[in-house]
Amino acid sequence: MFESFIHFYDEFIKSKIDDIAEFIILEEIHTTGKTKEEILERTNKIYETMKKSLENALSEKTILPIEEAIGQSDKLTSAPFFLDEDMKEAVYWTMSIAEYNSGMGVIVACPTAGSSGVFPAVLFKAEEKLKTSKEKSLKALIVGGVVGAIIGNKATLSGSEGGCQAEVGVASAMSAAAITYLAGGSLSQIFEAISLCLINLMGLVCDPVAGLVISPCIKRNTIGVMNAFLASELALSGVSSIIPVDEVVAAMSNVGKKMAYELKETGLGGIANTPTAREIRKRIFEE
Amino acid sequence: MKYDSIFDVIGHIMVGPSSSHTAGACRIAYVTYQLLGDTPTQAEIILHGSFSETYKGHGTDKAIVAGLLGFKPDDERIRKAFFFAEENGMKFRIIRSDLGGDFHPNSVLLRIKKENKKIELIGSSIGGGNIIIKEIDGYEAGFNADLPTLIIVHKDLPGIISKITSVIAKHKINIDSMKLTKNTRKREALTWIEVNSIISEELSSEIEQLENVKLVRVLNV
Repeated sequence: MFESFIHFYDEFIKSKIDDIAEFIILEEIHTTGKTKEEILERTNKIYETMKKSLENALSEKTILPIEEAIGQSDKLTSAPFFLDEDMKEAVYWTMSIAEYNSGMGVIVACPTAGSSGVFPAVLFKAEEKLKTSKEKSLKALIVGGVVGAIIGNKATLSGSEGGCQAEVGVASAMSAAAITYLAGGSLSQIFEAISLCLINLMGLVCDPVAGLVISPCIKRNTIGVMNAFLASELALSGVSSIIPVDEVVAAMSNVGKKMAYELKETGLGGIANTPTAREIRKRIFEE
Repeated sequence: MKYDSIFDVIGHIMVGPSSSHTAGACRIAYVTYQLLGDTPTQAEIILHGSFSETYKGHGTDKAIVAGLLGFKPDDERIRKAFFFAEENGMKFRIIRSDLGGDFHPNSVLLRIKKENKKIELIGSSIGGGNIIIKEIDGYEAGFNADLPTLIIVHKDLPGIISKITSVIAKHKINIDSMKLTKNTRKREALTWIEVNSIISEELSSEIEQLENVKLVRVLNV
C-alpha cells in the first residue's frame, strides 16, 4: 500500500499510466499476488452486495431496539423542500441502508458497518446522474478503497480510536474521491475532495445513544453523503482546501488522539449523555 | 491495524450493526468452532469490556452463538442464531465478566465442548471486522485468522519444529509466518503456522502422528 497520498501521487506520475484505477489495480496485484481478474471479480461482488443491501433496505421493514428510530427513513419519500430530488433520494438511500445495518441486515463495511450507508448511496446516485457505466463504478470503488487504506494506515478507521470523523468522515472522503474520479476529475482534484471532506467533518465525535449503532449514527450517514457531494462539487470546480491532504490526515489523527474517552464509542458523552439518551439507555437495558 | 489491500477497507461483507461488535465477534466464534472441528453441544461465552456493556443492542450475543454454529459474518441466519442453537442442540451461557486490563475492550473468552473435544479461546475484535486470537487453551497466541492456520501443541524439545516444517514442505505448502509460545511448567509449547493454501486432513494427521506432538488444530479460512 502507498505510504501517503504524496507517495501515491509520485508513483502514479512515474508509472505513466493514464487511468488512476488501472494504476491502483497494478499496485494491488503487486502487494497481494492476486490477478486482475480476481481483483475485479471481488470488486464486482462488493458492488453487487451494496446494490442488494440497498434493495433490501428499501423493501424490508427494519426492527430496531430504539423504538423512536424505526421507520424514520420512510419519511424521506416525500417531495423535497430544499434539496433537489436526486439529493433527497441519496439521503433516503443512505438512511435506509444505515437502518438496515442497525437491524442486522447484510451490508459491506465501508470502512465500517456503522458508516456503511454512505458509499453506496453516493456511488449509485452519482452513477445514475452522470450516466456512467457499471465498469466505471467498479473502478471508482477501487479508488475509494485505496483512499480508505491510506487514511487507515496514517490515522485510524475506528470510532473507538478516532471518533466518528474516522468512520463517517472517512466514508465521506472515500465516496467523494470515488465520484470525483467518476466525473473525470484529476488526481489533484480527488485529493482536494478528500481534504475538504475530512476538514468539514474534523472533530466529529462518536457518541452512540445507549452504545448502539442507531442514534445518531444513522443520521450521521446523511451528513457523510451530503458532504461527499459538496466536497466533490467544490473540488471539481477548482476550489482548493489549501492544506495538502497528507497534512489534513495527520491533523485528523491528532484530533482523534486528543478526543476524550467519553467521545469515542463508549456511549458516555455527547448526544449519548443527554437526559433523553440516558432515559433510552435505562429503558433498553432494564427490559 | 495495517491495511495492505483495498479490500481490507472495503471488502468485508457482514451482518450489521457493528463491524467490531457483530462481525468481529462472529469471526472469533467461527474460528473457535473450526478449531474444535465440530458443532459444540455446550458453550460458555464470557464477555469482556465493551462487549459485556453493550452486547445486547449490537447483537454480539447472537453473532457469537452463530459463529459457534459455524455461520460466517455475512450469514443472514445470525439474526435468528438462538433458534438455530436450539435446533442444533447447542446449550450456551452468556456471562458478563472482566478478563483483566490487558485485553482489548472488545474481547471474549469462549469455552466450548463436544464429548471429549474441548477448547478455550480468547479473541479480540480490533475494528472493521478484523480480529486477533489472543489465547488458546491457556497459551498466548497472536494471529489474525486471515490465512489458513495450523495450531500445534507439542513437547518443548529440540528438533520438533523442523520435523513439522518438513511435513509441510512435503505437501508443497508455503509458510507465511510462524510463531511459538511456551509453557515452561508443562514443558510444552504451542506453535501456530500461517500458510497460503487450504490445510488438508492428510497434512494435519501426518503432523499429529509425529513423536511428541500432542494436538493439532486446523483453521481453514
